[in-house]
This record gives sequence, C-alpha cells and structure tokens, in this order.
Amino acid sequence: MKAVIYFLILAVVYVLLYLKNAATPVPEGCEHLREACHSCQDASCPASGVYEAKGGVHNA
Amino acid sequence: MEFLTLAIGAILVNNIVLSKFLGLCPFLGVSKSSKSAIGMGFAVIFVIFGASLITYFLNYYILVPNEIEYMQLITFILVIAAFVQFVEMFIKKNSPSLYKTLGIYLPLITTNCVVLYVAQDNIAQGYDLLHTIVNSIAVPVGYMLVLYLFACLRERLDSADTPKAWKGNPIALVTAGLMALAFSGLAGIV
Repeated sequence: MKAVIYFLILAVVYVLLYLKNAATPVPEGCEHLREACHSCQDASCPASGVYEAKGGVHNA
Repeated sequence: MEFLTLAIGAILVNNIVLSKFLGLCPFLGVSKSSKSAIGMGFAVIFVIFGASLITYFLNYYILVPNEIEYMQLITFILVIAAFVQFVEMFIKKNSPSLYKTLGIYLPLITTNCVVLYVAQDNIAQGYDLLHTIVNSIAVPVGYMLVLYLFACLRERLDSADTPKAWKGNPIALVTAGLMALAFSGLAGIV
C-alpha cells in the first residue's frame, strides 16, 4: 500500500510538471526545432527530423 | 585524494561514453556542432547532478525506511522524467537562446541511460552523500568532455576530404571507435 501511494505521488508530480511545461510558451523562433535535427534517421525518435515524415505526431 | 581519484576515474578511465558505451544517442546526435555540445553537456551535468541528489535522498529517507527498495527503478525513472520537464520549463522561460540550441535534445536527456545509470550506480556502490556528489558531477563532466572533443572532430571531418560513402555518420562512428581505443589506454592510471 505504501508503495502504491508513493508511486501515485510521484506520478502526480510528474503529470503536473508535464502539464506546466506544456503550458509554458515556446520562445520565439523555436516553434519548428524538430526540422533542424538530422543527426540520424531513427524515425521512432520524436526529436528526429524524420519522425513527422514517417507519420509520427508530436505531443508538444 | 580519494575524491580526486573518484573524479579522474569517472571522467577519464571509466568514461561513461567511451568505456561503458552509455548515452550514445545524444552523443551522436548533439555532436555536430561544438557549441551545442557544450550546451548539451552543461544540461546533462545539471540534470544528472540534480536527479542523483533527489534519488539519493528518496532512496535513503523513503524507500529504505519503508522497506520498498523494489520501487527504486520506477522511482528513479519518474524523478528523472519530472526533473527534465522542470529543466525544460526553466530553460524556456529564462534562456530562449539556450532553448533554441538545446530544446530538441532535452527529451533525449529523459531517456538518456547515463542519468539513470549514475542514479543507480551511486546506490549500488554504497556511496555516501559526498561521494554521490563527486560522482554525480564527475561522470557528466566526462560525458561533456567526450561530447565536446567528438564535436570538434566532427566539425573538422565535415571539411575533410572524406569518401562520399563515409560522409556523416559512418566516419563519425569510426572516429568514436578510435576515441574509445584511445581512452582505453588510460586504464590503470588510477
């Protein structure tokens, strides 16, 4: 039971921080950063410039 | 002296990238420019240091007293993920230029196994707080050192007369392998 409560607390903290981060406006000029990354062709990586080209959807 | 030995060991002898082969994704991804390598290095130092301290206290003041050490892995993962969210938010608000340089790579720090490795290694080695602090700074400093060196080499390689089939990642991987060989020569100095 302690482990469950402890896990839930951590999960809530993470979710809150994630939502706060998502709500923080991106600085000017940084809206299309992902297009700049061509370091590798890993289509499964959200940071990769080929991610969207392969049909991936970014959450933020 | 003991701390110096620990630091030199973490930075050079047991370098996290070239000896333990961890954190290779951002190592290859961020090393195209020395400027972004430095920025990424500092971000990694900050995240690893912060996450290691938080996980250290969580482990010894919550997990161990409550006998839930089996929660260590999930705890550390959640703490690291939350901390990176915080770092990203902080950089967005306070340093737009740094965000422009690093923003795309910040999600890579979340999944960077170096962060989880350092957090778990501090516990596994039985380090006290001071050793944890030294290790948590030295390992990412070693990471940043190698990242910067590799970035400088890649910048030189870009203008070198490399065969077409070797341009980009192939020659970069060969270079990384040679660097690993070079660093293996440091074994035994501490």
